[in-house]
Amino acid sequence: MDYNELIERYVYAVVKYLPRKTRDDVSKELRTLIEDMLEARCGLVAPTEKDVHVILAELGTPYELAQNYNSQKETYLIGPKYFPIFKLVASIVLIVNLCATFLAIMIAIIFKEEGAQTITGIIQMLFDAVGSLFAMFGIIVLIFAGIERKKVNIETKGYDPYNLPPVPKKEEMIKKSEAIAGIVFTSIFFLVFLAAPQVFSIQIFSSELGIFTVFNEVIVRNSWLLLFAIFLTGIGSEIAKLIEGRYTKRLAVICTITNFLSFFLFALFINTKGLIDSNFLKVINQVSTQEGVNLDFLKLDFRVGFLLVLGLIISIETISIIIKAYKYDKNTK
Amino acid sequence: MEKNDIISGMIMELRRGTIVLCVLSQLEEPMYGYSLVSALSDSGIAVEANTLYPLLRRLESQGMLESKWETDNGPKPRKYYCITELGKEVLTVMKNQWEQTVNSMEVILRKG
Repeated sequence: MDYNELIERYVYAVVKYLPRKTRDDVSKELRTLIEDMLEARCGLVAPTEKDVHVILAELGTPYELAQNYNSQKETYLIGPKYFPIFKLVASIVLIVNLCATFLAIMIAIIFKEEGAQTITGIIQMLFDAVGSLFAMFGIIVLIFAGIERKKVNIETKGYDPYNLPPVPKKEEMIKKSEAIAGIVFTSIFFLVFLAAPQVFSIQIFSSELGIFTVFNEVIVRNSWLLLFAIFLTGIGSEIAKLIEGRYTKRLAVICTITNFLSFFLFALFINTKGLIDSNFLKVINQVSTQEGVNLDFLKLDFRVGFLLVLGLIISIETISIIIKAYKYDKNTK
Repeated sequence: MEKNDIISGMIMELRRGTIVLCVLSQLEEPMYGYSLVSALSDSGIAVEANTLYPLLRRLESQGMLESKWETDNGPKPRKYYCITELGKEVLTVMKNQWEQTVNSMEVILRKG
């Protein structure tokens, strides 16, 4: 091989790892460097291919050299600063996703859903589940890569030892396991709900009508964005608890906002047109007339009742956090 | 970890900062990369070209060096690097810091 060809190959192998705009300049500089090194090695004697070979070996692998050029830049997706948090979030989300998918698959099998009736169908579902696991991981990586690029501040500004919170007493602390359990259950609930809304069904015993699902599957799946938003607000407050680790005013503010948002979004969801399965409504009418029981309340009051109960639960939770925050947070600052 | 690995790692860390100081101190007059490698090696500081060339670029991007392609002297175009005002200011501070460190280290190491 012509020794110039060897040099060109080396230079190309280095600069392909470098930012486009510096490539030309680095190429030119590397070529003259190699020529200088050849001159120092051979003097006035014309260099041979072997000399070039020795010098290129001396310069190290193209990848190493490129790394030296890139060392000032961030050549990583998620650096050591955010990695511990990334690991925590990724493991929680992946474990939750895994549990929920298996649960959803089991439900699909139990309800003999389409695609879950044959072994191949079930295997296909498992493959899809693994695929979605990777996709989920990819999304988390992307989010953290974004955080890394933006250098989101995770440490509190203006550090002053006086501002360090007192060591919490046992009752002030939020157990990590509680928050994680909250995240796990919220995730499982939403994933199952999306995957198999038919779990919410009512069996009418007094007739041969059988099992009727409350929610319309198609409508539920079409509202995935809304459900996802509710899910995010739901786990948002749990993540805040996990990070904060104790009842603080800041936590109270965050939880109040997320809970309120959660309720609002849920109200939107429950009022989605066609959400309550038309068959279900029909059955209620039928049963009402057959049995002479008035089940009409299930139709409209169902929504109102649902929202009332949810509103009550959310209010109690929010108020209890606020009370605890005021009780325990007075020590700080 | 092997003893030799520990030693070579520590030597590398010790040298890392000093090389920047060496480079800045040599570039009052414009020099190109390989001439700098030779000049430093003549003074007993062995720097590999594959470390020095990327370092020159880094210092340039930080504004401590400036560069120019020279095509006049000889057949080969070469990139010459020269220290900037910012580089000079940094060098002065770093030189003082270096002297202080050397003095203190001498005292400490003599005691030890």
